[in-house]
Amino acid sequence: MARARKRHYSLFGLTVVSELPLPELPPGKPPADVVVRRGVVPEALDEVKKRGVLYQAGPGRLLLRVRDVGRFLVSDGREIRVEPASEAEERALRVFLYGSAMGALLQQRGVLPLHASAIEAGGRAIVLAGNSGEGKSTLAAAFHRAGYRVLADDVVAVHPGGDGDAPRAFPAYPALKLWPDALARLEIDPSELARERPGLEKTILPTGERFAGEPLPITHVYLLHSTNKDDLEVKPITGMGKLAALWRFTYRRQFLDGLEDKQQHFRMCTALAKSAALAAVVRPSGDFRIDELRELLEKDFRE
Amino acid sequence: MNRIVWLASYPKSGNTWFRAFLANLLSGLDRPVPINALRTGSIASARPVFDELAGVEASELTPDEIDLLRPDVYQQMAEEALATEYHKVHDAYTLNSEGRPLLPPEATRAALYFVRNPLDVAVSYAHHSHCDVDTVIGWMAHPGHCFCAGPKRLHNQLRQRLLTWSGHVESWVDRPEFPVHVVRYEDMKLAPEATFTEAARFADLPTEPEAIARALEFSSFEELQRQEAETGFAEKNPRAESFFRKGVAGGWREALSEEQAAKVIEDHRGVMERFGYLDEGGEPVF
Repeated sequence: MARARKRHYSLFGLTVVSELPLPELPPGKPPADVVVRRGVVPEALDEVKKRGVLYQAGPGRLLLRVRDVGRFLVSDGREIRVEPASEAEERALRVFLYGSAMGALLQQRGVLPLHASAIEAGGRAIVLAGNSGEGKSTLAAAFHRAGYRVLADDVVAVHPGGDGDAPRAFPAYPALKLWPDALARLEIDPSELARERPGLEKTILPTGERFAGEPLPITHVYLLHSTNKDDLEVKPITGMGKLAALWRFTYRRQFLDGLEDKQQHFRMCTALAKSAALAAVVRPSGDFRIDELRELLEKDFRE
Repeated sequence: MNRIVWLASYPKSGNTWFRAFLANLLSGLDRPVPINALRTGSIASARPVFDELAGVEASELTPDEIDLLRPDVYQQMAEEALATEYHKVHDAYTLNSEGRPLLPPEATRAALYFVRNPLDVAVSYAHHSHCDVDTVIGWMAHPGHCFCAGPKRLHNQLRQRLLTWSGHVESWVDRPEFPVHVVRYEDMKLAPEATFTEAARFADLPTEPEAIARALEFSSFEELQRQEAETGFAEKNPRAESFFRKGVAGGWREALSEEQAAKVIEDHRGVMERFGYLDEGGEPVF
């Protein structure tokens, strides 16, 4: 087998050197913080502290096994080894590499990954957090359409600020992932857009020039939640509720139980709870009222 | 570990009513449990449950890939359970493409299956879905009918195959390799003490008459309606006017045309006869 050409990329504030081509990612500067290589990945870990259907987590290790896609071994916050399944689509491999595998790697490094999208406003990061289906990407796309730069979609990497500064959000890559109903709502023509994975109608919308490629201090974190009522509201979260909310919206929170200790994660949540305003955002599940919601948040974070 | 008791039904067949009863039976409080805090265990098809237990998001997988994983997800759920858990489910009892039951016997203690006169189901389901009765009668006769299957958006729940109404009933009553106790909605209405006590006994729940009576009082239809009017109900379809609408047996007589009723009976005659919804002359009992 010919030796794969390695390239340097930038993702979540880390330089990634990879044997797998990662075309979605902007270029990164050596030296590398993270190595992605192809190789043999075991079926099981020796020491497992927490397990789920597709993962096993232990100190410094996370094993992810996705049928018909591949196995991923994430080690010490420095290396991701990938063993693709036969006939695996590279696109599908990258979905789980950027997602669960990188999420585990960030946790191993003591970086706080939030299940969120983020936009830039006035040189600051505005974070839109929520479970799958709560409208993170759609809302980020609405801001993008209104002229804002997008920093990240689905995962926001929060690094310590240093010297008592506010924690900062680091960029993901210049794309948003949207379902056809969201595209229609935003009046975006889907015909030119690539799908994230074959068999799924979720598409990739490139952000083009409006990508925030630099780290930004986080001033606001909004936690998105939809209900079957007509209410559209922003409710500030204060006190201990902030910490609980950040813990709850930690990306792949279930992996944390595999770590040696969770102190660093706790410190990061505490630092962010201290420096950023948090608010619960409630919207109707039936009618998104997307522009109204965007304007409501604009008003809130500009105050 | 066989720790899960499934509360299974076709939509609008008394499942939520039973969950309200169950929540009140378990609470031991001297006031009704709020309908938005039943906490009797999430529905099997809830997206966050899958995401949490799998470690990847269902939104990155196709519905068929999800179905291949669902048995393992419930197995994991049962392994992590500290005691018996009660989970609502609207999926028919089906096998995935590998021939594994979606809801695996290894994780299951038993199931309560709620069945209701399909003539009343048609009316209630139409209200719930905010659509006309003929469409719903068509769904109930369509083996491919699913919840949350449209590929153009991310649904709040995983795809659920319902089969036809008859297919749903037969799948749950005849197929599982675990004990299934059938509860008729009409018996819940007409003979609540006996029906709920029997269901509670089957599911290893308290059966003291006082406890049953109190739980029945706190989950009465009037109480559920009163609470919905006051606080709303999180499980209501956003487009439907209310979730707890009429809660009666035989309400179809005022809502269905003769043709519509005849169509439902024709589509589901065998199962209707089997569960006492048609008399010997082929006429509706309720």
